Amino acid sequence: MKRKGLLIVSICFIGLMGCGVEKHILEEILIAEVVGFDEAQNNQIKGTTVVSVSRPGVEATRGKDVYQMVSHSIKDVRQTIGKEAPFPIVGGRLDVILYGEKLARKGLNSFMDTHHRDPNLGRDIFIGIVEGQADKVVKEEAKMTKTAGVYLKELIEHNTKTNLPENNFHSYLYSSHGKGMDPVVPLLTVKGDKVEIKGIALMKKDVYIGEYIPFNQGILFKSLYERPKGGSFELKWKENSYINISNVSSNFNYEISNANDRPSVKISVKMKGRLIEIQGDDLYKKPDIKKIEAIAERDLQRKMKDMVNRFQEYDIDPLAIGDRARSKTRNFNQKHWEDIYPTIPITVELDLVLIHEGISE
Amino acid sequence: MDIQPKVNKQISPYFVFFLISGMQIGVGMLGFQRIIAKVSGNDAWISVLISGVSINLLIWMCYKILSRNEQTIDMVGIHRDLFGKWVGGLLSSIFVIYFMGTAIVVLRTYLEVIQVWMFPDLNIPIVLVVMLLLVYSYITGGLRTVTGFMLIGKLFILLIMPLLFFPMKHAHLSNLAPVWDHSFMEILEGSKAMTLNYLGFELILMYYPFIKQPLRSKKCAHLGALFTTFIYVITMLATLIYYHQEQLKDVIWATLTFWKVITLPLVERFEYVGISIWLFIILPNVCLGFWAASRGMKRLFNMKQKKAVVVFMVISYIICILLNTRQDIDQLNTFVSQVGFYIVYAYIPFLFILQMIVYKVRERKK
Repeated sequence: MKRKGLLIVSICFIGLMGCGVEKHILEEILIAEVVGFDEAQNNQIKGTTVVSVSRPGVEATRGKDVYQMVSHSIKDVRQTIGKEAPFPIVGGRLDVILYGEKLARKGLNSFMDTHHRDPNLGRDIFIGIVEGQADKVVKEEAKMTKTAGVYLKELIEHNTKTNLPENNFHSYLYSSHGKGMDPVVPLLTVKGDKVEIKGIALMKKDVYIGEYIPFNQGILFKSLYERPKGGSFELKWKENSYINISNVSSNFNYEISNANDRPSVKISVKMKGRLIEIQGDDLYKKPDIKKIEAIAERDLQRKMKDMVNRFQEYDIDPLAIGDRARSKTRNFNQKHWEDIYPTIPITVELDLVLIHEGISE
Repeated sequence: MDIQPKVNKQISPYFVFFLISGMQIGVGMLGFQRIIAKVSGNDAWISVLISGVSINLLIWMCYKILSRNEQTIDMVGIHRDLFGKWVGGLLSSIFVIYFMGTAIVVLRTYLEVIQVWMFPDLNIPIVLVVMLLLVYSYITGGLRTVTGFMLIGKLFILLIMPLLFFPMKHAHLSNLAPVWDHSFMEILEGSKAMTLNYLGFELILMYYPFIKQPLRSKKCAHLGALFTTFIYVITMLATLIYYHQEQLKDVIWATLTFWKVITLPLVERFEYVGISIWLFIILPNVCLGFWAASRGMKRLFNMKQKKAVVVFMVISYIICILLNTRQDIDQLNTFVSQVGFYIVYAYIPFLFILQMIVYKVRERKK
């Protein structure tokens, strides 16, 4: 009986060795970190990717190489890159996927489907749109070897805490598939020898509409969309003097009435802030907190309202108001909502409380 | 042949908890959400709950059928008692084939998951040999060994369930509202689609004689089914608040795609770990399926159980290799689960009522 068990075990071992599964040895693959896609001629796309390569030597550092190729499909780009690359390129640790402006204006669905289908890709990848050509940003990434890790990922990640809404691959898929909502992704650009986040690119489903929310207004969008704990606003207080308020915590509520008939939407935002900078002549006087609050409320409220009205004007719904309406209405009529969305009266109410003003009076 | 096995081959009543819930949670757990959410949308979890409760009713029926007569305490005996040797034998053979079918479906679907998610170039014939050898060595240990293996598998489920909380940072609770926005018929239709995932408890028709003091196991059986319901409802709720309904329509393995969000410092992509662990959850199910089928052969034709297992394994090996594409596997899946649905929801109540009538008549004749 014992011998029989041993036989079974050894058959299993020998059998599993012959399963013929492809090996991936770390030194013999190129790990793609960032890919960018651009429009090329004849309906083709140009793929650019940054891979990290182990350099030879005693103190082996990881360098970065850029590969670029033109083809019709994303997977074929990867295959064709093999023409130049010494090892196969794998996408299992991809961190950022970028699209050039022209491609994004045509719609991203067909490309996103490829990523969606690929079991190798994670869901915490960042998606971005690049003003101009995506390959410029990707090439910039290859130069950024000072920090360990992927520069672009870190750039987007830390700004997600303040000025960018949550924007990974999952949330893109969520809001581009879902009804009554549209995705937002960061808009990147190259400035000098650095990559810069220009703002939040606005999309109608998978199509970039060519408009964006400027970076410093990102926190306003964020406080209407999720509940940020951080970020700061600059406000004009008096002629040539500005104040800066940092956001401590914020909360919002969407009141939607009559969604199936003649809807009206009231967004109320409650925010706790902290005064962190104040300019002006009478610095020795205690600042009038109530007055600052009132000015800030009025100013921010107007900016938020403008932003929401702009969305209506473009007929996009990045704040997912349609979905919020659905969750609050029985037998929600999606089509009716979509038809009248641009004309729905939406009001924004902001309640700002400055809870403290630093360690000096 | 003696229907009652020796005491040293029997299992304690509380193990029925693991046998029932273990057989129900299998490969379907990796991606059952899509089909139900298609029908009943954000109320899909209600559908899951309803069909889970209905399963308890069927388990109650099973116990009634099995405990009516001390001579007929398994499916083969009941069939022989009610329908005679030939018709009863035929019906029992259908059950045997169905049990084998479930084992094949689980095995092949799991291999498909490995193929799609991990190794597209997996050599199926060799892996199958290895897996079937494992299954064989468990079955030859008897039902006790299989039950023990089932217990280990369930521990893995308990380990994996807390992982559902990782994706909750992307949760949209408003997806669940408004509750009960679908008509009752839509929700029932979702329940019908869901029943397929609750299949597996009907194997109690085979292993009932192996339970020590079988009536005491009744409570455990119901608890097992409730545990399964709990796991499925939790998973469904998590799925609904993580995915948008429109998005869910495209996701074949929603639970696996879930795990993609989990990134640990050491494990970049958790689903690979999850798929590997899942082997220990599905393998006991394959074992029990083959065990039930071979036990049926023993009771029907007085065949040696080991021989029957070998025969079934050769057959399923060939079938698994012949099924190559996703369409084939899907078709087999749908077919076996349809058969299962009718066996469970039509045949068991039918058997219950028929047996009741027959015994009433017999009593009167006396």
